[in-house]
Amino acid sequence: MVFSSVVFLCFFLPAVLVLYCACPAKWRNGLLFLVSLVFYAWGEPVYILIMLFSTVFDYGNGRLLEYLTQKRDTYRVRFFGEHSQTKDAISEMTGISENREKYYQRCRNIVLLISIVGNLGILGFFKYSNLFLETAASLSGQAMPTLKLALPIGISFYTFQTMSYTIDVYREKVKAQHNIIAFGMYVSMFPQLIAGPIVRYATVADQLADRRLVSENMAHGMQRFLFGLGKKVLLANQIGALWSEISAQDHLSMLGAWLGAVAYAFQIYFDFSGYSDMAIGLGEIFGFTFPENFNYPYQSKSITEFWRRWHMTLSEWFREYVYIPLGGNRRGRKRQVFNLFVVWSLTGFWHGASWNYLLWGIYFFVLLTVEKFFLLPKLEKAPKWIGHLYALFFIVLGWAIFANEDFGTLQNYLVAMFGGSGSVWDQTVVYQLYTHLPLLLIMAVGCTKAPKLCCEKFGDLLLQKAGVHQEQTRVKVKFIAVSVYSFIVLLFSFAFLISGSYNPFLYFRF
Amino acid sequence: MNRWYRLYFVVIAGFFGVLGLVTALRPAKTFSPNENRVLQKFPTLSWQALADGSYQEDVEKAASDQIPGRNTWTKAASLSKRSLGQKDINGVYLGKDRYFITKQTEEDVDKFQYMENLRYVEYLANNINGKTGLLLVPSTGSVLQENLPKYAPFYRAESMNQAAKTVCEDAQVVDLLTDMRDAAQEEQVYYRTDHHWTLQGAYVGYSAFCKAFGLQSRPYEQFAPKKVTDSFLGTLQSKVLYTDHNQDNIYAITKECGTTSVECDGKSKKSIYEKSKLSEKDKYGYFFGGNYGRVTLKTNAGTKKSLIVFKDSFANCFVPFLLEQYDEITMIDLRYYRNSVKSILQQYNNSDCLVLYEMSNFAGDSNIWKLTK
Repeated sequence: MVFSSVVFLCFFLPAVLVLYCACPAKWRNGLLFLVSLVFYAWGEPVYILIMLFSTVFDYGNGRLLEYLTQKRDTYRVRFFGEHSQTKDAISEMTGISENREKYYQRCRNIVLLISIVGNLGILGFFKYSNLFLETAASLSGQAMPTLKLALPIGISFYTFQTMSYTIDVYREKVKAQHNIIAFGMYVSMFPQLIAGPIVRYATVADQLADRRLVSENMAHGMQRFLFGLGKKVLLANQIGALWSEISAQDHLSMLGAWLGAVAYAFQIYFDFSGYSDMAIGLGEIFGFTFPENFNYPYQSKSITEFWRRWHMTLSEWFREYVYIPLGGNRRGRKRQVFNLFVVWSLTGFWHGASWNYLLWGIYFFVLLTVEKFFLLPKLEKAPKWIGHLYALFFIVLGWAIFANEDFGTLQNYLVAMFGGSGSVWDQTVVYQLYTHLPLLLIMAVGCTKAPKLCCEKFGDLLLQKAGVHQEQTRVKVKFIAVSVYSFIVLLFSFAFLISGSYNPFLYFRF
Repeated sequence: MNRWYRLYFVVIAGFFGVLGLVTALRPAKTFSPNENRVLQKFPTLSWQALADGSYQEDVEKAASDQIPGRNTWTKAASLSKRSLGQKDINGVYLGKDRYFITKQTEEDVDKFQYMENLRYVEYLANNINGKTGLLLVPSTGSVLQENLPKYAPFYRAESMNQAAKTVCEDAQVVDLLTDMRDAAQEEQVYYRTDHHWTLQGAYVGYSAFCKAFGLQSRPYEQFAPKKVTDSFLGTLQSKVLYTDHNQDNIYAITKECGTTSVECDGKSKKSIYEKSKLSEKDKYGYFFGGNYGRVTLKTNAGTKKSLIVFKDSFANCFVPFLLEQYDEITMIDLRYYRNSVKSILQQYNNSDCLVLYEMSNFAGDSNIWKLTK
């Protein structure tokens, strides 16, 4: 089920909201777990078993790690002075307990290893085995059996979430979850199941046990959800149509190729951040605080800054669980470059089972390394617009790599972007440009912080002019204004959603 | 303040919930005349359908098909797109002078299929005794170029015609492009809201056909064309869904030599016109009542000649002009015709053949190979 569908909006969501509000607090985890399974099973009736396996597997690993940690810690207690034993006895006992301690520590390592191998194994098998088999077949020139596995929805997200749990339990940053329903709910929670944000267990551990329905949060969550819906349906889908038109063109002019890449850049931002908004909003309704995932990434003045603002929970995950464990920047320059290479290759490859994503990751590794060791200080000294221009150029170029899965088409596309297709512009791109200009402008402004700041300033000014000074009234007026706006967004989104399913079929009726 | 929060939350959740309840509970609509398709109804639950996902798919289709005010929502979306500066909606250009024009770019026209289809026509010409004509009706955008939005891409019909003339040596290619463009200066040759040509447009085709086949053509007025409706909103309006005060008139000729029998897929009809269609959405169906696999027309023209027309719907308003030229006209729509074409050719072994399609339809049609069957 996707959020931007009639079934979700008109059937699933209202039903869940009514049930959730009517449900006693102690059963709410169970209810959310159940409806999340329904949500998942709607599109993937069979793959639900993988998710349940993942849940049980990591629940077990968590409990096991907790047990082993406790055991280890009992042997960590040293015997000193207070007891009237002889020196020899003490050192003998210490020796025994050190051995035991090491033994349990080794067990902990093994359990962690099993958990990581298990999770990555599931992810690798379902996500990448097709790619590997196909590549092996084309390299060896022999026909290989393909598995034709469909990718289980959300598997890239929930395996990362469960891994954050076992690793943090291992590192003793969080306590193991004893309630399997609460843990199952964490793994399967439908708001962020499909497209993130990647919520680390540590972030929501407390909220799993104790959260309340606060009407203020519920209202704000709903607003957030509607704005996310609008981003997805009104902006991303519309500009997405332009991108699919351009990517299907036989001949691309230079301007056309750039317009396509810009269209894709807007589509992926509004689609992805819209989805995150919807997830965060739904989370708020149910009493959770999910981490932010986007912070106006296209406002960045460098690629380094871009990755601090784009898909923040993913970058944080890789930093926390790959980069820092590898030694980060603490083991010398060479090692740091190697670490960056590993992290960004993996980040790229995580985005999809196709080699262009790996290339895309390495592309950013190169840019980030250059910035880290050389460019960043210079950019900081340069005028701001140079930074913006530089960052946007490489971000958009990056999206061209990201959007073309096939290396042949990618090559043609890049050639066209740099003027190798023989024409700088043509009739088609002029048409596309002027018919999409208002939409492009709206999105260019909409992906910056400016509209929000302007509205706030303007709102304050209006309130001041109207002589409203009482804080409570101000909050109220602002809330009502935003609510009305969100309702308008809702109406338009709904119209566009329905019109997307409107499908004239004029010649045949079979 | 909490009251406001709660009110807002309930209003939004209620909006979704009420829409959902109405969608699920009101009696299902079965057909959408605008889209010319059967609407999905809510399926009954079964374990099998649930496991293979077809139940979920059907529910999703049904939910968006049965949502209350479906046309209104769609219309609102179309209008917002237009006000945001878009010049094409759902594959339809919003042209000048209130013309809706099908959007057909170079990518939309299947050139491989086109060349293959031309070869089938040439095969036909090589294998019959009579003449074979190929009449490809230009797409609206190829003729009304000035009415397209500025810079709107459209496929080049000139090179398509050139290719037809190169491939078809025995078949006579009737190039209508110039004639239609000339006529368009004076008359309305295409509908504003539909993809078909008007009677005036079909008359241009008729004149060119007569010239190519060495027949005497009559002036337009002598056919005594009569307006049969002034409220035609065609297929292109169905795609855009709003109207721009551009309802079309449909004209039909009233004076031909007269048919003695009209047989559509084995059923005989009184007239080549179907009056009841004028009260439906698809009023172009007035001509013959729509498309059939095979239509046989017998006339009292007394010319002892017969014609076989392989055609799409563009022939429906064109063929009436020819009734006085042939004793018998057989119209074959290869999309629906399931029998052997060869046997018809044997039956009428001296008759002429005409292949009449709208150009992009012809390029996209995967049934033309049946000419060789």
